[in-house]
Order: sequence, then C-alpha cells, then structure tokens
Amino acid sequence: MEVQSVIKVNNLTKDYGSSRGVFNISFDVRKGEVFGFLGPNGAGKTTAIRHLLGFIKPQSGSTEIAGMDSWKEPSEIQKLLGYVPGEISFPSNMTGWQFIKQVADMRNMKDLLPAEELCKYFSLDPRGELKRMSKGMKQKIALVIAFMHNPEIIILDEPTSGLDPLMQEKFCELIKKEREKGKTILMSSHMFDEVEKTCDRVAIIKQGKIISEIKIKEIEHKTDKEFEIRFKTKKDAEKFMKEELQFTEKNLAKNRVKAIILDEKINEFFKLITNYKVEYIREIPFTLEKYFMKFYKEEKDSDEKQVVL
Amino acid sequence: MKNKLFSKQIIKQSVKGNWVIWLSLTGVLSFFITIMTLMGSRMMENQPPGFGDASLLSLYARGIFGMLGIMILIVFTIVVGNKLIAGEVDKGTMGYTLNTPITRKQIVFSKALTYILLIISLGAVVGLFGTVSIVIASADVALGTFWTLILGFVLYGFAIGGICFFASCWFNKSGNSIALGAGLSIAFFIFDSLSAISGLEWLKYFTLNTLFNTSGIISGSGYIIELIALFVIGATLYAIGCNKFLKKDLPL
Repeated sequence: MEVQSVIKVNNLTKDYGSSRGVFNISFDVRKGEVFGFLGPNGAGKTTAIRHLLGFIKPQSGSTEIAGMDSWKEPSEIQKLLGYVPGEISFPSNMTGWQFIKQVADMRNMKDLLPAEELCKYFSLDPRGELKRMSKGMKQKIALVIAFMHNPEIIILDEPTSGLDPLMQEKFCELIKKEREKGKTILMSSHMFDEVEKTCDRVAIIKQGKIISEIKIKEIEHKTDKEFEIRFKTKKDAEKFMKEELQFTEKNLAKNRVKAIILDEKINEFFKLITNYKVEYIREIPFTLEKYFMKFYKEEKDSDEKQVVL
Repeated sequence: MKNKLFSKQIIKQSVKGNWVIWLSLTGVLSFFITIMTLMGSRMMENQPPGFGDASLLSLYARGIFGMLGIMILIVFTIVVGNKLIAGEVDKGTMGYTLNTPITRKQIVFSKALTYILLIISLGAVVGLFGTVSIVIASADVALGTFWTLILGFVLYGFAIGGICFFASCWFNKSGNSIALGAGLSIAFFIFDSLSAISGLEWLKYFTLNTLFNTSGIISGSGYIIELIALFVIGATLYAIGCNKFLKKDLPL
C-alpha cells in the first residue's frame, strides 16, 4: 500500500532575481511524517512555505496540500492547516487572549479549551497587551493559534526562534505528541538539534535549490563511522599512517589520526589497532549539523573565491 | 459558506478597528454644521435685503463641502483605507486572517463594504445634524438641495475612498499606499483651491473635486453627469483594487 502524500511540491519555481527565490524544487511529505526544511537565511524556505499557504502564485510548477492546489483552493486547505509565520507580528491595541479569540472566531471555533490548555502547556499568560510581550511570548501565542484548532497538517516557519531552551524542549515534545496523533508536519529551521530531535526527513535547501534530502535515521545509523585515534608514540603514529585505511586527517604533531571505518570492517580494525600503543580512541558522532555543513562549507568556499576574484 | 461574498467576522473587525476615527471625525463635522446653521441663520435674518447673495447653502458649499468636510473625508479615507488592507499586509497580521477558512474574496469585499458604509454613514449623520438644526433654526434652506449636496459629498468620499482603497490593495507597503492615496487626494484639493485664482482655472480639469459641483447643485443645473462620473470612477477603482488583491502575491 502506498503512503499518501499530504504536502506536495512539484517543480516549483519562483525567480526573484539575483538567485533569490526557489528554482524547480520538488518534495513531498507523507501522512504522519515530520519533515524538516533546513537552510541558511534567504535560501528560499519561506518562499516555498508561502506557496504552500496559497499566499503567492507559482511562476511554474505547483504545490498541493491534501490533494488540493494551494493557489486555487486556499480556503478549503486552511480548514486543515495550522501555520506559524516566520515573522511574528500582531495587531496593536489587543491582548493576547483577545487575538486568540479573534482568530478562533474566524475559524468558527466555539470551544476555546484547547487554546487554554496550550497556553498552560507553554506557561503562557496571554492576558497581557500584545505590544508589550517579549519575542518569546509572541512566538508562543503564534504556536497556540497554529495548534488550537487541532489541524491535520501543520506548517511552521522557524517556530522556535525567540524561545528559551526549556521552551524549545517543550516545543519538541509537542511536535512528537502531534506526530503520534498522526499529524503531518513541515517545519523550516536552521537549528540542527531541534530538527534532529523532531524530524523524520530533512531537505537541505541552498540558494533556492534542494541540494540534499536525507532521513534522520540514516544519519543516526550511518554504517561508515569516523574514529579519532591518538597514539602514545610518534613512531606508532607514523607507522599507523601507512596502513591502508580511509584517513580523513593525519596529524603527526599530535600523534593523532582520523579515519572512516565501515561497520563490516570494524573487527579487522580492532585487530589491527592492538598492534599499536593507543592513548585513546573515540568515535566522532555524525550529526545533521556536520552533514549540513558539508554543503554549507562548499558555499562558503565558493563565496570566498568570489571575493578574491 | 464557501460561496458567501462577505464575512461577518471581517466586517465586525473592520468596524471595531475604525469606529473611533469615524466617530471623532463625524462628530467634528456634525458639530460644525450645527453651529454653522444656528449662527448662520441668525446672521441671515439680521442681514439687510439685497445684501449680496449669501445664503446658508452657499455657506455650506464654501465652509463644509469646499473646505472642512473635504479635509475630513481626505483624512478618513487615507487613514482607514490604508489600514484596512495594506496596513495588515505590511504588518503581517493578514497572515493569521488567511490561515482561516475565510477567503481572500470575502476579506477584500467585506473590507470594501465596511469602508463604503462608513463613508456613507459619515455623510448621512452630518446630513441629519444639518437637517435637525435647519428645522430648529427654521432656516430658509431647501432640504432637497441640502441633501443633494450631502449626496455629492458622499459620492466625492466614495471616489477618493476608491483611490485610497485601490492604493491599499495595490501596494504591499503602507508607505507606498499612503503616498499614492494621500498624494492624489491632497493634490486634487490643492488644485481645486488654486483653480479659483484667475489664470489657473485650467487646473480644474486635473482634479476630482471639480466633479462635486456645489454651485451647480445649488443653482439646480449641470451636476448630475458629474455625480455619475464620481460614482463610476469610484466603483472602477474599487473593482480594480479588489481584483488586484485577489490575484497578487502576498509577502506573509
């Protein structure tokens, strides 16, 4: 049985000039999946999300939510959708609770209990004036509004900006809970650990193009692991460097090497290492951040080159 | 639900957000027309016969429908027109409204409707205060002509309201929307004032205010086509504005 795609982006292009926008991107998010959208500022995350919400019209390609075209049927889609915008701004002269009630009214929601519970969950007192609220409090209000109608699909544009670490943790828990309820979630972020903790799959976007898509599980269960080994003597280090291994770093001054070892070769590797006097050995954990930086660094390098030119 | 043109929530919100400025501006103008009628009618009584052609109606035409009333309508249409659409888009709060089942069409139609109704009721309340004070002072004013002036006043508001609403729908930045809306309506007002100076009469062809022909209304001729023109210009601008809002990209 094929799993149904709830969010679909098909060859979407929107060119804002000077390589801003999105260029022929495609991805889909399946039902019950948490999908992360990772990239530096200005990479096109928000542009893609605005298309999904039906705020902007594709130049070419299309976006779909629950089988409906985002541009043609936005109001039908919105019934199923919760959204946290990337830039939080609220009307002035209103309290947080008044605003929550106003949005609830526009959604024809009668029951405000879920909103109250969410406020309690985030330890938020929404009775204050919106314009006097801190960035973190405003972010919480936006989260309450996005979740209070129990939507099937949730789209979050940098949802944790402004939240303190404790609240970020609570946010991650909320996402996990919603996921267990079978919700489909798309979130953009530039926080690696939060994406790693919450998402099933991640797309990395750079200059409007998706340059990689990876399952978080693949990162956790990578079969080629990197080890760092330091030897007691220079002689051993020198000798070891001549072994047939895939080295990523050879540092003779510190008697240290880094090498990638495949899981299937791990026993051979341990046999080999017993011939040497080892000071320590440790695995360098592979993180999403590392994975991401691989792409980001290339960009930085090419930028630097451009500056030199 | 899906096929409804208006949303009562949006209308409610738009009234809630703008009734204070409506009330204060309507209040000022109503106060002014009452004082003008009561004081003016006494002055007219004490005036020796044959002393010029000053009548209350021409006093209204100059003081209210040529000056204070026009300024009040300009302020009202600029401030409220900008706030209704461009203000919310620029600020980003429109994003929350669109994250509900309410459609873009319902949003823009409801806002245009509220806006037009506020302009009409501003004129109507001023007209009522005028009528009541005319009756109290038992002033010699033809009420039919007076209400035709009010109608012209409302149609003029409808037309410059159309400019501001169009600007508000066209631009995503409040600054641009105000620049166009305020720039045009203030320029029209200045051109209209300057066209009274001999040698600058040609300026009257470059201002909407000419179409609100108060002396034509008082003398009873040559104003109907102008009023129709004001209506057509206004309606066209609202239609183009709404259409733009339905089709444009919103940076939310």
